[in-house]
Amino acid sequence: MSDSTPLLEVRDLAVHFHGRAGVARAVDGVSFTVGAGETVAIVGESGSGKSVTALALLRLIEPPGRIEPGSVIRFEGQDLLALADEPMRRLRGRRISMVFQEPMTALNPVFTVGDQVAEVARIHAGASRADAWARAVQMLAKTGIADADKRARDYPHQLSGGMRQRVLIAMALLMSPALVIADEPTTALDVTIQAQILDLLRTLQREAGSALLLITHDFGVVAEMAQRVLVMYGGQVVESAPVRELFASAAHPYTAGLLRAMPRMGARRERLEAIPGTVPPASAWPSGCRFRDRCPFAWDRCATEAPVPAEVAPGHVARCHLVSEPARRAAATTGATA
Amino acid sequence: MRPPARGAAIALGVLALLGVVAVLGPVAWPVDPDHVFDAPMLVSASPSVAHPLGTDPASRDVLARLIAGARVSLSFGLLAAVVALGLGTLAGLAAALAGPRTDRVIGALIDVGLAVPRLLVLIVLTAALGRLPWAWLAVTMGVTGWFGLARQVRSRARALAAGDFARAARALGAGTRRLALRHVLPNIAGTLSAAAVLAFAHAITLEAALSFIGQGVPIPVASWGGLISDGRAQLWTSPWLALAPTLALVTCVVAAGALADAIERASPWGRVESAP
Repeated sequence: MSDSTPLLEVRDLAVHFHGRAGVARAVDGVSFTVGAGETVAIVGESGSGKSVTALALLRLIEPPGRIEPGSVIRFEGQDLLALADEPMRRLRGRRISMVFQEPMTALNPVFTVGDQVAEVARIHAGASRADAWARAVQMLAKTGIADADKRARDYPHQLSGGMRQRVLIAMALLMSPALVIADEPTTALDVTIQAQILDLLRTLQREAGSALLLITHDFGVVAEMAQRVLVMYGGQVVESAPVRELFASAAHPYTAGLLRAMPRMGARRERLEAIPGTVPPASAWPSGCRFRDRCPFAWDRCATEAPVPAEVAPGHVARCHLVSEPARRAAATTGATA
Repeated sequence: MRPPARGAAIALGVLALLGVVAVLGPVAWPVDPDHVFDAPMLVSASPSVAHPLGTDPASRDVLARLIAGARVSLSFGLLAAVVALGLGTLAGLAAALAGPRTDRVIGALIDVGLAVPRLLVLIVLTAALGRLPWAWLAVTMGVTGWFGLARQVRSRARALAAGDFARAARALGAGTRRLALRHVLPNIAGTLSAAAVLAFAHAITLEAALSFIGQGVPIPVASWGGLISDGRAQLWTSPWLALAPTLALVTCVVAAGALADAIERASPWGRVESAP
């Protein structure tokens, strides 16, 4: 990460959905930065707010959802939330782009894949039909699609899931954006294809010098790809740290639980541990700490006082009362590893 | 591409045949539909070699008038369908894509348009505007007939715009126009063509209904509806006068209905999930 201003700075981001039944605070006070060329992972269960955070960065939140006043998103020195619609549209796909989770449905069935990659060049570079097509074929070849000039003429349904994900990556990286957001890019794919797609993403990202914001629920992917991790729970970042630091000494009980729930090669444990309970709905977070209902270490302070982010070590922050109570923390960690 | 359904092929064949009759009929049967053959007597002659479908009470050749009626009725239906398709598509897309305020206004317009009986509106309009030439009557028909189509377009467009590929396109910088033209319209081509074929059939039927109360295509221009209306007084003495145009109209409307049905079911673009 560069020492000057980061590529992306998100501060106090809140996205609320104003429904008839009340307000769902899907994202509630999220702050983080992404440096140029850096890979940052956002980890969390379904409903933790990670995908909504990603869509908010592109300003693609649909009503009744709304990015609340007071949120700040600065990208390349620009205040994205103050930007008019048209310049924001020109930013999408050119400076910030996104790879979606579902390669089966993220492509339009009535156009060839080459046409759809070329469309991005037509939107942003004002390229002619022939130029755009040539760029598309070249980009498809770069994503490792053999006979790219032939495959470009295929319709989405003629390609496998892995191939389609390559097409989506080609679309997202065609303009060499400064930031690529990838929302669970490998979740819908076969395990054998996942590693290839991650490799491809990393190679193309390096080549273009792009930063990568990787949204996943898979710590294996995090370890493989990211330099820093944000763990999200209940619409908040509950812990953020460099990858090694997080794996070595997770400070938040939720993070610790997620790590223990991960299968590990050569582990002697017979059963995987699970975190009891589920994420509560975003319209009904518990008072105080949002994780307390599922936390094995919760005590009365957790119900009355919402924890604020506290520094565990330089660059390592956790939103947990345990951080400020070393005695309890020691008891909790020994209890957990016993 | 899968082979077209047989029902669709037959329906399309029937409609094409009617079209050929309308275009080439006057060449094959070069009789002036307005010519009065037996001026002093004005009798309705039975079918004969000279007049295969006889003559009407004004002593005009019924076959020639049926062919002329095909030209008018089919053009009438086409024009009305094009107008309804254009207005309905524009309104539906605007409602789905141009923001919540536009959606509310167009939504209210659609609700009102669908709530008021169309025939009633047409009767009031034709009474107020006087006797319109057939083309203007067809335009009026289209202007009063786009509401259902707009509602269909709106709901399909809304679903598509919220769907994965439209969202992916927006995330890569596609604007509203591109969304409408590339990601919505081609994917609702099936729905649109089925709706347009139905609008065509409705317009022809409604014109017949208007003719029955003397508000249809003005005389002496022949339309199928006008011919049925002209012939109904002689239904017991000269049934062919009303039966021939009725048969033509019913054939056309049934074929159009079957075609619309087949398009909707067979179209590869009919549903979002299916690939071409």
